Amino acid sequence: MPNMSGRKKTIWSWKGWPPVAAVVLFLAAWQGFVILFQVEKWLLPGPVDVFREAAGNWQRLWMHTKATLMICLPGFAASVAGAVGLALLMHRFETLKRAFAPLIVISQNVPTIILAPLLAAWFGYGLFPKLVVVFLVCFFPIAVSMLDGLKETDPAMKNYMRMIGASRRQLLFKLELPHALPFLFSGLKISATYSVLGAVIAEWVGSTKREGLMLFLNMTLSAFDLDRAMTAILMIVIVSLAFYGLIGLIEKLVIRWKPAREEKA
Amino acid sequence: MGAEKGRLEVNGVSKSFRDSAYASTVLADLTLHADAGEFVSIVGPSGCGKSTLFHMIGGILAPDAGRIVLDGRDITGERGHISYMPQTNTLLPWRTVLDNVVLGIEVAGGMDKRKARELAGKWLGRVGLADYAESYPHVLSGGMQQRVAFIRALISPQSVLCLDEPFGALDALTREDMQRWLLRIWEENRRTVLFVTHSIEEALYLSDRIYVLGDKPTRVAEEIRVPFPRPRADGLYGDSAFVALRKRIYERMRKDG
Repeated sequence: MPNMSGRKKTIWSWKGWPPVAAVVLFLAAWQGFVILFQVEKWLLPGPVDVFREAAGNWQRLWMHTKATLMICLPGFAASVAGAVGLALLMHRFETLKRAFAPLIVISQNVPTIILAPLLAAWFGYGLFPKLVVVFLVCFFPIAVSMLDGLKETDPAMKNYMRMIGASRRQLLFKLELPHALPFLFSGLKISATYSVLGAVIAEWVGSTKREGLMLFLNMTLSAFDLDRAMTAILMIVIVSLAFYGLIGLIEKLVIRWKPAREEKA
Repeated sequence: MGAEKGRLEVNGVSKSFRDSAYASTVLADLTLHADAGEFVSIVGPSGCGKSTLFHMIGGILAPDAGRIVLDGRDITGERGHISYMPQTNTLLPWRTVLDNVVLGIEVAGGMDKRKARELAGKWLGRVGLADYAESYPHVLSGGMQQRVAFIRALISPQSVLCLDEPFGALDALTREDMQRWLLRIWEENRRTVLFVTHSIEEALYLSDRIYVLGDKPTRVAEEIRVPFPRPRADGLYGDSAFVALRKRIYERMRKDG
């Protein structure tokens, strides 16, 4: 008997259970709704239909997902490099900071839905304008979080470093950068999910290549092939979650010094 | 770490702030010194510009007039000549305790990294913190953190240690422990120490000499040579000469504050 209660305890103390339970509940309610009201498959397929369709059509689905990832990942990487670089420059030169601050906000203000066709008009339907969309969508959260992290370094620690004679370079590498890392990762996680959405919107404008999740979505929707369309949405969700999780994992590996959360309830 | 090196002079230093809420905080023609290997305390009312003085000694603030001189050389406005320990915890949270102790040496440069880590490890062992060498600072108590910060300052290559109310944030009992601990280590490893404190007892217990500062403008109100032999006895607090000196400094501070 003590054994059983012990096992029960470990299941309920597992931190991941609430979101998993919520998703399962949501899917169950959806499936239940479809069965109960006998909704036609072309109007709203149940999750079981969607998963079956995804499994059956896996090869094609993966081909389109890969095409989207080829926009999303390089765009994200370029954005990280650009945003971190600019944040470092802005941190170093006050004038640059004042000059570029409004432009960074503007990069976030222009709606992607308007930006994407504009970029297509200027640069065509190839890969480049799509990368620019993802770049711009990701830029703001990364640049702002990095800047905040650099700016909000503990003044007492800064004072200490300067008192013992730290050079500007030492101050940056030994104090400000490590301090900014957790901030940067918050920005990266937000941008990771944005990057998938950005890539999909960029594809929506049109492409010279006949692949990508948005293209697949368009094709299936216009054919009222709703369970197929749903598999594309499923993939967008899965890729976003996976990307977010990957950044979170890297964060855990890089930032090991954070005080552990209180385990006692 | 030669005992001959580390004579620090503050010669006729003045500083005023015109553009801030501290407009009244003024150092006027302040002159004091610490001989090589001497423990010198500075006591004075709060807000009298002790931290300003330290910032000028550290070279991150320029005096309006006067000079900072180390071993006969003018170091006014130069950084990197002192090691420093402030009141608040300034251990870097992403560095292990050992890596924090090494930081002072690392910033100053000039010592092989492996050697520095060896030295740091040796010192952590000597003060009973060897088990925490690979831990992060947040697992340490406030007193332990300040011990680590002191070791970090002590093994830095600079000849002058500036301690800015290092025990000010600790509770009374921990504070007494820390004073005894600091005294024991310092008496075995003499370095020039400039020690800022609010506590008259602390200054009397630790120092060779005490500068009592007067307020507005801040200047040296009195210089006191502490007569008690070293190593200092634990029971010093009850000694009648100690009590008399404490009273004298207290009254001097009241008159000037």
